[in-house]
Amino acid sequence: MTNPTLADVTAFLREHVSNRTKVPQEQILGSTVLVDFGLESIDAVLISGHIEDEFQIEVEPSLMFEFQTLDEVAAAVVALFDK
Amino acid sequence: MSRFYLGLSTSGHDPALAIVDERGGVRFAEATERFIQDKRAWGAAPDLVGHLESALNATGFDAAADQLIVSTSWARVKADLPVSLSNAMLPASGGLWLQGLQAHAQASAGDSLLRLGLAQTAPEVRHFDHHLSHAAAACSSAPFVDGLCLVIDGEGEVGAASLFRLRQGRLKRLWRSWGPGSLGTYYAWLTGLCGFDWRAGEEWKVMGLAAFGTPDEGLVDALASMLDIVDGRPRLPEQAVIDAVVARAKPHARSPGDPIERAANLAASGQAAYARLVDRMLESCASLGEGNLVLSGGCALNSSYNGTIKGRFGFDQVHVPSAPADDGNALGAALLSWMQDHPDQPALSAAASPFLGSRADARVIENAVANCGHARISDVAGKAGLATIAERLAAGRIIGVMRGAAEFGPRALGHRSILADPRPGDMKDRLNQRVKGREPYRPFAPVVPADRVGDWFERAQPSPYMSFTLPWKSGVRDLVPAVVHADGTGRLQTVDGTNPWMSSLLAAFEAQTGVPIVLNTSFNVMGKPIVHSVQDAMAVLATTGLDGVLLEDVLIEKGT
Repeated sequence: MTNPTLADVTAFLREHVSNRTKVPQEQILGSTVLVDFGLESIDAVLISGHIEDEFQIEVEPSLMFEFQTLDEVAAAVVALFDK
Repeated sequence: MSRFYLGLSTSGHDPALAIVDERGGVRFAEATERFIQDKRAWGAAPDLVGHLESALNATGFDAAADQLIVSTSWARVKADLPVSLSNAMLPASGGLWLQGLQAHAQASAGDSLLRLGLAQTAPEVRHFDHHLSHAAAACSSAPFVDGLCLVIDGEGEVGAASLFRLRQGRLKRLWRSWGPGSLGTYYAWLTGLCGFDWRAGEEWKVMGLAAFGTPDEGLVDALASMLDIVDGRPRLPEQAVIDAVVARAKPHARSPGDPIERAANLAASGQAAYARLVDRMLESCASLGEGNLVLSGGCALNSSYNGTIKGRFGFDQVHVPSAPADDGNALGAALLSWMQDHPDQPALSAAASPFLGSRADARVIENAVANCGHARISDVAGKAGLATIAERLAAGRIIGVMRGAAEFGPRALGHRSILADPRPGDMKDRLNQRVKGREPYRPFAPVVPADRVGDWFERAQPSPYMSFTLPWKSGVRDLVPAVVHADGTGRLQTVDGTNPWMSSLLAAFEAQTGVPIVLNTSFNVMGKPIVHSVQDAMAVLATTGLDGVLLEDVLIEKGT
């Protein structure tokens, strides 16, 4: 089975950040700091859970606190695929 | 040289230590509260020097030659996440307090090795996932090697529930919940609402009181909406929903000074809501098609609910370990540490005994016999001795028992128990007034031969660790009124040949009374942990209406 691509992960994250913050997906840029969209701690934690379920990987609870932008988080998730 | 594995429960509450040997055998496990005689031992080190030293001595550990590998029951420090995420239903001060205790326990784990000369520098410590520790400990005593293991507690590494699949003794996590939303925290909140104190572990009181109330369906609906169950996992709803539930429940709340019965319907409703929520979680598990369930985490102490699971959701067998709460995680951490070093060997397959703790000091027993000044000392070894004890019980005497290794977990299972005759209608009140000092509404438990459970209980099933509350058959309740709760149930302990002394005692009691059942309550007084030393046991004899104490095979009795 091939791993999801960076684009897959980015799209997944964009959808969930949009769901939590009610900001339209097209306005969520990869380079914008997530808290600037109004993403709160609880949102970050719940999205981390969705990442685990969707991609069947184990993520650290600090993942979305350590990385500030959507692109950074997506790259960190992709890096976990081969671990 | 041999390598031993020391597991430490580092939650900051209910600390405990466990020792596993090089072959994966569990050699010792005991909660710190027993050693220091302080209930729940808040903030005490799980590797307290004196306790660890005595535990190592009990296992035959050779400090000069053997190696001790230290592990803890948390992968990380809780303070790494914002407090509001992990303690949403409890006051922030309580959450901060818990975080600080856990962080300290994690940071200082293993330091006692320096004091004991077992390390020259701070030892390397292995850290294991909290819910995996629960699961490993729970599955190690399961009577099967395949099934599901559901962990439900107050809080874990990222959430308060995890589901594992058990395959030939190896665990694989299927999911874990993330974020706030916790059955354990819900029950703690309910405990406070009923006028009790969760920090004192008074969730028991809610469960006991529930039998006196009637669930109010509207209130049950409201309380059950305090948590959403999403994909089998508890999650907090929107704040507006929480606020509405709090407002709905408020008129039913009881202040600590109010009469107990004021909270009876609230307790019954809260317990019913708890059952509804866990039912939803198990419904989700049922789709996985497993016939065996291991339930662990602090919520697995909810024996009232546990007794309703078997036969539903496709589960033919339900196992709850003797220590499902955080004390049990010491054992989980030790086993996981051993498994890490032995990846190719079978694990978690040997049904473990719950009798894993300290033993009475024979020299102190001799001193007690020589110096106690009581009227009657009897050697009650062997069959004749059992008949003597049965005769005393049948005569209405209340006897404290300290035999063999102490139980691991909160239940007294016959090694640190107070035993009495379940037949007299006033035995419950006598025990409460003369010995235990407990509230009159709380139930006492029966010990029943495993092969006779069906004669006495509905939904008969094994309950070796008092993990399941079942309804008594209607025709037998009048025979043993002291162990029948207000709702006609009993939190039974079943015994078989693996517990020969207790099995034989039940047979001796039946020979004299026609009833093969004895009342078994923990050997402690209200507010204190179960007795640890011979001195603790003798202090209860001296300061309460206890009639006698059995120290191994020596029965010390007061004059009549």
